[in-house]
Amino acid sequence: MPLDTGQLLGLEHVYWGILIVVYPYLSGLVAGSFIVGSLSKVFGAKQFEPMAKLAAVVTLAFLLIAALAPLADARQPHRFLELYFRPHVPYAPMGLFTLIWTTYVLLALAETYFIFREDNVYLATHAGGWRRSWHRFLTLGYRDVSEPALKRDHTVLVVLAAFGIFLAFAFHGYIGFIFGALKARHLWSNPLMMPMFIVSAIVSGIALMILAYVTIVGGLISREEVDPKLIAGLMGLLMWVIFVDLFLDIVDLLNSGVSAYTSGPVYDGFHSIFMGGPLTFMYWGLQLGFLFVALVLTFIPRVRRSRWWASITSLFVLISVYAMRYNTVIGGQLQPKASQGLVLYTPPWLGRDSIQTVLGIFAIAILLIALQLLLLPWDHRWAEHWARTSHKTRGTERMSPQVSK
Amino acid sequence: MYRTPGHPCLDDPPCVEVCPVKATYKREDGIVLVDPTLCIGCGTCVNACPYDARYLNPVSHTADKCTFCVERVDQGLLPACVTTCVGRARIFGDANDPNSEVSQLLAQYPHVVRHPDFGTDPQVFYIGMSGEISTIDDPDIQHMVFTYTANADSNLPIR
Repeated sequence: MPLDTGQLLGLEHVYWGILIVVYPYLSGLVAGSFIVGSLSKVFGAKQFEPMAKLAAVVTLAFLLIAALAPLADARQPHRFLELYFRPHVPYAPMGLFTLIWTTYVLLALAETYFIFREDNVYLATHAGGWRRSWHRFLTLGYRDVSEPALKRDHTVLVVLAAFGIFLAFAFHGYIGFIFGALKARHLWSNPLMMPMFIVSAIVSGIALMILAYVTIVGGLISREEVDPKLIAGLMGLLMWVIFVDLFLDIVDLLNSGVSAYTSGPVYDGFHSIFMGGPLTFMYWGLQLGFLFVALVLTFIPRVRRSRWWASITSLFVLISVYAMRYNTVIGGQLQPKASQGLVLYTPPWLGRDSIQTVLGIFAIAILLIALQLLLLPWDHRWAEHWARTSHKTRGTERMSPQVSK
Repeated sequence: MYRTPGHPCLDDPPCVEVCPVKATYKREDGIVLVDPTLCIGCGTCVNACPYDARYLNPVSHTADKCTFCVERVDQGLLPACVTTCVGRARIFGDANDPNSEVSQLLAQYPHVVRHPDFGTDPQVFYIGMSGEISTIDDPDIQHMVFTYTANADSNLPIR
């Protein structure tokens, strides 16, 4: 809030703008995609095995940028190291979040190492040129691919996935708690905040993985490779989690939207913001409406198996979850603490804490995913292709989409 | 309206608890301050304050609040708002000292604090205030609240 924009001082403002909307959105995608990637390992759902490597790529990319959003929102981001060294445990939700995030990054890096190790060893021995040295480096010197070694890798991955699911809950539940812990905001101070955030995180993560699977496997390998059974499996899972999400939304609605059931300030805030207020359409149309439409779509067997319809359903879900984050973060701040009426907020297009910054953060996510798809052996056909082509003289290596099986 | 902070601010301030870098702290005498060399400007304390007493300072780019003129208080002077108030509506002192003006007034007159329901144990007392400064539209209090806060779209410039 620089002085030269002439913004009002000492009055009530929306201090947490659109970047803090994106912050739980991104970390929800992380938690959700990690859980999808761990399904095959922790819950023995073998049909989701093809998702594991893709989920690792998506999780790492979104995890690394998840901390960028609150950092870009902070007015003194260069002091981020203070988050590690100041004694804030256990009372500062955002401080504890930093520790959970750091643990999660370490875990995701370890997972990336082990999940790609076998293919990295293959490329380290079969590829030539820069790829050979790069993948040799990625193995970190451990190039044993005997049966017991791979078995040990698998055990490590199962343990990492199990601990990762616990961390996913801690990670995203704690973001819910950052809001739930602020008793000054009537619409945030709600014990439902944590479960609502976790469930909507899983919903959005499944939707993101359906989209990532359809676009990345369909686009970089071949459309025939997109397995309708796998999509149907994810859509079935999506249906059940949407059920839980809608259930929590209804509990929340009953506990905030009916004056007889709730305290005055909560009802006043909810009523003036979401029932005939500035976020009415955002709540009823986007958050609840789109989620409901997506739920109905997951009932239809043809939609479940179609990659197009599954993608459209996923888009609906992603929009709904984004609206949920917006309604929570912005909606909670529209209710004034000490004055009358409502605080108003329009996200600016350019500058600090603007739509421009948000687009930049998503662009970094796409860049990180693209870099990983280029530098990690996420698919064995691409790995074999790299092994073959990297022996040619420098400059002739081509990224051919014609991958032979 | 009497403001009598013996322990100014709150006895149990949420802003101190939520600060992720502990830039905000409560002094022995109860005054809550922000260290501008530590604050990362995340805004959590601004949202955590039930009294809208905090803001992000646009010059220092850190969280900020009323300091009760701590430099003056440390020299044994009164906060500037207390000495300049022409109606002498503000009294500042040590509520633990039974002989202070603050203690005498609190002993004699009924007084309220703002938002006791938040459990923050405020140390700013109001004498003669009927009820809470309300957020509900009421034409009788409208003019008072209007001078206190006129809500505007946070991103619109002053014209």
